[in-house]
Amino acid sequence: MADESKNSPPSNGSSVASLIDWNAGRQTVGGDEALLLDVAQAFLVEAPIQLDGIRKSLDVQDARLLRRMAHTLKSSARIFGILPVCELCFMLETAGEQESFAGTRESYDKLAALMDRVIVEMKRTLPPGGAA
Amino acid sequence: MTRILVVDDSEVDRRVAGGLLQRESIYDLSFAPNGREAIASLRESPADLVVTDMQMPERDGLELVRAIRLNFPQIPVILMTAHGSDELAMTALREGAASYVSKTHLNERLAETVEEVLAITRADRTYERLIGCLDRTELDFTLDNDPALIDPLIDLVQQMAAGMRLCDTNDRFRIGVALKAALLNALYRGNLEISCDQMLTARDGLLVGEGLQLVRQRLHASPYCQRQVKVEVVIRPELARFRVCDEGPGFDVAAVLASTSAAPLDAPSGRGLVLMRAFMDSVEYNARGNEVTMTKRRSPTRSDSET
Repeated sequence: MADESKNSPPSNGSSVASLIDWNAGRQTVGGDEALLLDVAQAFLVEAPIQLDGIRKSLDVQDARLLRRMAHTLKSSARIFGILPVCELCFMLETAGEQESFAGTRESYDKLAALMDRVIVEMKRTLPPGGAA
Repeated sequence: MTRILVVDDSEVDRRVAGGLLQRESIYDLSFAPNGREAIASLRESPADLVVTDMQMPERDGLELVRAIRLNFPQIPVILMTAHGSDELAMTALREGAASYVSKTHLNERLAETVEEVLAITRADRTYERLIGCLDRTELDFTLDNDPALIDPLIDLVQQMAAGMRLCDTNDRFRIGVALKAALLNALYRGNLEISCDQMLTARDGLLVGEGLQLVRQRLHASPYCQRQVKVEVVIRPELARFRVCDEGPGFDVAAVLASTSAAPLDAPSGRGLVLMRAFMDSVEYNARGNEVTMTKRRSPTRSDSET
């Protein structure tokens, strides 16, 4: 993994490598590299499903589903310190809680674009035999 | 081998919790993605403990706690809380959960909390039938600053409370958790005057009297070493009262209560007080802040609720 993505704070800047904070992930799993890899692989499978769940909840205006899906994705993103994703998920989760869909489509579009970058970065930085 | 069921709709979170518990290599872990499947799993093969997320489809954490209390009251439930689920978690703590761990502190606290709750549920039941014949019991203890005395005292109180039909199995260990929090607070925060920050940095060793140089020093230094913890326990079939008094300087009761009430569940301090207030019917301090009195009324039984 490139050094710049280990410690750099997540930002909404243009650097793809700055989105994931692997040290936050290491801290979550107590420094267990094998577990970190396992969790990252689960994230790669599950996060797109959750993102799709958010989209479907907006399509059918299901506030409860929106809240739950956004909450779960936020929780997963926090493990890897992906703060811009956490912030957007929090906005969507709050919208679901308040049953207010105003502005949620725009938030989703931003989230989907960010998640594309996160997935690319995570795949790129995960070596075949170990985490970042 | 102790069997633990981890319930979370997120595969990512299941792997984190499972991986952290698996490091102990003493648990047989199983997993469920929601409350409904968790109950099905417990019917097939009961667990010794359940660790659950709060927000899930098909029976959330609160519904799971209620179902376990109804169908498997002997199984304690630990909540994994996240920002946004505090209200649900507080309700679940009041309705039957044994403890909680914030998802942001799983690495530091999950295994420790699991062991703490398991230790409390393993209480000796040797005198259960005899205690069932007791009408009232009153116990007064004067404890030196020895953490090794805390677990036996809790075991004894749990036997008394459950044997006298004050509480069901679930409330039995919740009483244990609350009393342990009060005793640890009296010993470390009260008598030894260890600050909250110092407690947090040395949490792992505190239960065995190790881990913090300051604790070791104060256990032998005046005035700390002369101080004792007074414990009064009164149990009747309809009510129990626990008074825990330390000989430290006390604390600003109003300020601490206000800060704990306003703080989220993932706040680094105040966890003991959160559990005491969730598990007891009343928690009151004296003006000096060195004495807490907790009251627990009899748990409603299934036959009560049916009438």
